[in-house]
Amino acid sequence: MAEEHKTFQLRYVGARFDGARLPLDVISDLPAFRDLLVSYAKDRWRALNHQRRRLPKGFDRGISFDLVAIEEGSAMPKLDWSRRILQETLPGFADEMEELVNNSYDELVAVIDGVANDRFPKALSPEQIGALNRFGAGLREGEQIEFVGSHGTDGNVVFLNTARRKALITRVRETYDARYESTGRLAGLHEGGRLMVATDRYGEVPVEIDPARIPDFDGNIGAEVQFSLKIMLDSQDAFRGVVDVYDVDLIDADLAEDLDRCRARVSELRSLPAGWHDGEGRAVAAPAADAAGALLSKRPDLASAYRIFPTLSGGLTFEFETNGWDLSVEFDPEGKPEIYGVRLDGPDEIEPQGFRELDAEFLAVFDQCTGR
Amino acid sequence: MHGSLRIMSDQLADDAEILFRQVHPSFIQGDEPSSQPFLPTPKDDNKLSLDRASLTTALEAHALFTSNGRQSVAVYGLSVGEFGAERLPCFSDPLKATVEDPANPAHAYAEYSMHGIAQQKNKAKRLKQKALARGRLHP
Repeated sequence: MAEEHKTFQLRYVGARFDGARLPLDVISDLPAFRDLLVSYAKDRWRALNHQRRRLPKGFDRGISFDLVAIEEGSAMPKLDWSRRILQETLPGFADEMEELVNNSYDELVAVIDGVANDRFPKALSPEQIGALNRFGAGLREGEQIEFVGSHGTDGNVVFLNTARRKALITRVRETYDARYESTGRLAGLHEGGRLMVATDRYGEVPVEIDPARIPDFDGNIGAEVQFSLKIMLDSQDAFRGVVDVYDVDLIDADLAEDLDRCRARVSELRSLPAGWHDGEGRAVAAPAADAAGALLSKRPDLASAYRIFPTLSGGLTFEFETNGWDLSVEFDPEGKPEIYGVRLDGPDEIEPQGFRELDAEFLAVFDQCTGR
Repeated sequence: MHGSLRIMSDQLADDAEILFRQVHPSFIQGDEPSSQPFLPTPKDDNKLSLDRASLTTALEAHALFTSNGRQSVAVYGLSVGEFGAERLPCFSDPLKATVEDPANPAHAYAEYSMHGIAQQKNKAKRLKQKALARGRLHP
């Protein structure tokens, strides 16, 4: 390693990373990335040194990264690998280790590029699977992590997204981890610290909490809760279990009432017949109603502000005032959202911006507009 | 515009004149209207139908609008000047009686055609805010 430092850089792409912002829930990717490299490096070292049964002392500690910057674009964390630490922990091995880690990085990138082309590794070590299951677990639909400077077989930069993670992990094991944020109803609770939450998507989900918090939920069976979890899904996206609980809270009674009012409104509008507007106006399409329900689940906090109307094309529109803006989220008949609005006390406007679905990209813009 | 026969169109010059707009029941929730009543529909050919307060009242305009089965649960008002501030010129557009519709000498419209649909949506929002500030004029 001729230079004192070597850097690895990742690029997080998605609206939520704009302006070099790296949400705390993806920071855990960085140690996972380092662990991945270490696991590949160990495999390579073992393959090159059949005669040695153990790794050199200090092997793991020698591959120590520091986060030294997060640059613009959307967010590009820069990881620094110090030669000084490597020389201290693995005297005499520095150059060999550098080559090993460089090759490991190339191998990791090639594995992920292979997934894009339906080529999968025959096997991965438990250490690699463990690190892979953590690396990118906080990604949402529409977001990706690019390996800066890499080139895939298509000539473009290689990236990891939710689809590639799922494909890779479930190819080598049965399940993968993913983020799940939504609302549900409290269906049961156990003194030992477990809540049972009834969800629309996965049925009853067990949520472990600190037993000291159980009294907060006691007496609220049937009440609405909102949660943020890391869950385990199989290759068919069936629920297998909860891996981590980031947040779970009761939604207060007023908010629950507002949510019920919004859901009843969607249901009422769904029953409008074609021609509801003096002969014009298509019936509200099911995908639009589903997308409206999803927005209510994902962003229930604004339920008191939401006013919901049909559109002549068979969609639905949410109109609401918040954060000094009069905003609209309009779902077309296919459920694709569009957001726009005007500043209440000035000339600023958000021009209509369309999205493919109610995905992370949309939610990031929604959160920005609403000041969440 | 309902297919009625137009007589002539002159641009309205009195910025203070109020123009009435009817609101369909599905476009109101609680006491708040959607911004959609302030946006021409595709069949309106970029012309938002209005009634002139100098020639009719909110009550009469509502009665005439609903007389042939069309629905309206609220009448809101915007001034010619408020439309003008959004670069939406307004024109008188008296309608003669047809087999389907009675005559409407107070009919007028705001012209949206110089703006794309994206711009129109936010203009409708600003107009809704101004109409809300003035308050419901009928019933």
